[in-house]
Amino acid sequence: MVYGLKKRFHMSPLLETHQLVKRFGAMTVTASVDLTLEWGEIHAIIGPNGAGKTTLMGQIAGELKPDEGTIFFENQDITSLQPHGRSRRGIARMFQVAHVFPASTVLENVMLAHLSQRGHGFRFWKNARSDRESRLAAMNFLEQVGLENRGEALAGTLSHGEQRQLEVAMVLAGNPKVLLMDEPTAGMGPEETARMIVLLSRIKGRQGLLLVEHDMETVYQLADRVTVMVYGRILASGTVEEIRRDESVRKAYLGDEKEEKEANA
Amino acid sequence: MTFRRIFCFVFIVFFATLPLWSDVFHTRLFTRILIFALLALSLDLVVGYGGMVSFGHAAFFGTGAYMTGLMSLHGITDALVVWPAAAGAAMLIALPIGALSLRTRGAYFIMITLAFAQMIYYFASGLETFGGSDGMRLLARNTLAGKEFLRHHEFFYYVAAGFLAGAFLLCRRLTGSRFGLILGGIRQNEKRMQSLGYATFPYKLTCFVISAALAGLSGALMANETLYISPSLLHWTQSGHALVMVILGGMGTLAGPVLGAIVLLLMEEILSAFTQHWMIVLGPLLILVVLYARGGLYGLWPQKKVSHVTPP
Repeated sequence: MVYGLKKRFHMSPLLETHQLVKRFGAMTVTASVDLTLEWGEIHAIIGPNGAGKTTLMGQIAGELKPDEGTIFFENQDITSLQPHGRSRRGIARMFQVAHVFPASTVLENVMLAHLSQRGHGFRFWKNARSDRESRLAAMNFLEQVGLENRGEALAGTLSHGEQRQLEVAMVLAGNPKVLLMDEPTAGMGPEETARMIVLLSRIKGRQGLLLVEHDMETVYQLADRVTVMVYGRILASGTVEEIRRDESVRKAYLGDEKEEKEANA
Repeated sequence: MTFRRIFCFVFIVFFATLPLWSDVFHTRLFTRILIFALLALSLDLVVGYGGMVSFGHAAFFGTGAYMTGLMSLHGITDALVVWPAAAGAAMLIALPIGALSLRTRGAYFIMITLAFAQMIYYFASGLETFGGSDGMRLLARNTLAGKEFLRHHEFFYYVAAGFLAGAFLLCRRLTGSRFGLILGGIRQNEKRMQSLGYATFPYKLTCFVISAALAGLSGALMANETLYISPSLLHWTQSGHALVMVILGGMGTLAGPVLGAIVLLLMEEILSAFTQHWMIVLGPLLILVVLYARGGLYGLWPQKKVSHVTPP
């Protein structure tokens, strides 16, 4: 449906990179990457280790400066924008390692994420922790990820999986248009992974989600579109089915994984 | 909890009645302790809550004291004018120092704040109008609304106590406010705060400047207590002294620095009566606290939430 709308109104993609290049010394880690993300879709980026997926995410989030190329968000050039500026426009980043504030409570963590989108924080007098409105808003996001009973716990005391759930709540609280997620299920047990997949599929359709993921099962369950990266360039891009059938992908990546699995076994 | 309440009650009664039963020497000693507690409290706002380890707080302390001296040289002696001016001068100096220093972090921030403070120290040492490195005697304490109330040591004690209590309550509001919440996030993970959409620099600078204002105020009070200003108020050992109070008492708490100032200065006073080499006793004691009581003395206190500081 989203695609239909796009065609009818000649909408451009929500997020688009144009000929993005990033070099570390002599090594080109992002080689002329063209990538688009549409409203409401989950676009997964897969590829072997060192394919430049995380570097690409870093450039889109604004932590790394590309050497060449442009990044468009809602038709505007955001290439020179700082990370907080991009975040304010609606690009939220979820990190590979959960980056919560360990010494603050779970509720405070979400409140911080929520407040960042609501004007300035130069309020010096009123108690922020007991502010009814932002407490309720934060609780709402905690309910969405199933952490409503952990609001008063210190975030540092949560389990790994819970911290990732909290991270999702924080990302959602920022009300972003684009979610950048770096291996949301990394290091999770099967149960936590399943819960995360349910959580992400619920988000689907509300935002654009760019997902870097190693676990093929997660990708097949969630993604609308898959882009395969190898050595910094895009090898193939298409629907899950197309990627599964693609010969070059099989050779370069999926085959490798099979061998890896066999080697591991 | 009840034990805690009793302790707080005794603590407050002790400090509230002290000038009534104490001699002048001890009243003045505790006045100095309260003033240093104010300095330590202001430093903890930056170090414990903001996560910025400043080694140059003497710059703001000394600026407050020198502003008091400067105005008295020009015949302006009323506290209602002088003290806000002292706090304002400290803020004015903190603004460029903070704006430049806050571009660095960690050890670099420590070194650059130290460097700025030493610059001001040497600048003050060269000021002939203020007696250069010898310092300058002030003629009298500031007047209060034209009256010479502050001449009485007991009254001045209560003024210092009032400022400390006021600053304590102010910091409590501040750290519990939206600003305080954001500051806590920046301390724990600045990069994450940026990715949430916060421009962190203005918050850090604001915290730095507010802290400098309180430090400047404590400097003005100190100049009034000792009636003497000298570059030693600006020396880096002064910054270190305040930092020790904060660490000893427990950073990231409000009661900690106050407790640290009281304990440290009392111990200095008591130990120095026994031996000239009191630092030999105090030094190892500090190392023990740092090694075994991470939350400082206040952290040893049984309670639910020990400290706001992230455990390493």
